[in-house]
Amino acid sequence: MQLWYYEHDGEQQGPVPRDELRRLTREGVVGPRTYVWTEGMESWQHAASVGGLFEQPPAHETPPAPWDKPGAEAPRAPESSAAPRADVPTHLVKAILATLFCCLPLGVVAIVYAAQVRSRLDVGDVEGASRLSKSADRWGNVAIGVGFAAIFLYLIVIVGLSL
Amino acid sequence: MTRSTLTIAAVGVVALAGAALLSLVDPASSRLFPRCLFLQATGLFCPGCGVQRAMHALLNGRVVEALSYNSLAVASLPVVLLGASARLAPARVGQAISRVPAAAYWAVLAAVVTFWVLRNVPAWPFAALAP
Repeated sequence: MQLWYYEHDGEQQGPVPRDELRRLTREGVVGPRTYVWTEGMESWQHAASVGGLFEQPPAHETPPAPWDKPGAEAPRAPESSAAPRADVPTHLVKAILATLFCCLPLGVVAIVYAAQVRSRLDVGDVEGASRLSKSADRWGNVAIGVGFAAIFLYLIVIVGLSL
Repeated sequence: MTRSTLTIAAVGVVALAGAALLSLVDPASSRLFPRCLFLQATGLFCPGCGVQRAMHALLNGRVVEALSYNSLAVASLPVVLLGASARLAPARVGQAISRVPAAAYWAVLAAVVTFWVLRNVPAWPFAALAP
């Protein structure tokens, strides 16, 4: 039986069988934009993009039998390292480049965000990670942008003085 | 050509041009390279201070001298190059990078902050970290 992981309140939940996942969609715990993942998927996806979860109106299904409940399932520990993480970039390399190879230590902020992205992904908080990922990217760009602007101004001044 | 391909190409060209210029011109004696703004503003070394001289030394094969200018930047080069190649070969390298544990990220932050503080301590042995 294929087991599914889903995200709820910023935490990774599961594994649950597919029937249980469908029951959760009917209860509203798993919405169309909730991230879900199962073995074989490359990254976490919105539940809406998973076939069969949202396409049909909820049919009258028999409630999950007791032996079909997640607790009764052969319990496979949801090790966070075993479950894959969504493809959220941490922008760590850009942050390091901005901090060590550019001109202003603003890149340190980007490193802090990058580490937070990675930690969020570890607990399955994909949405939080995506938000922090954007901040990491932005701060890396700001640090590099300010650095390059400073070099450019400097060169203009140098050329101006030598004329 | 997608936008990201263009970005990679642009970054590659700038990096190669910078490396070529840095290998030929000594930033210690040339006015072409600016001094660190943070150093000029505060009188304190930032984590990136000395990186231009370090890269100049490294590009001319003087590894020990490069380490004396900015050991952390030299040490981080493999990480940076690996990360850059992840952009070119996302499938393989990108997967490997996604397995880097969170602890490693926090270790990078700790290393940078520690390096930043210690290189400003004007006493042995920390003075070795100053550019």
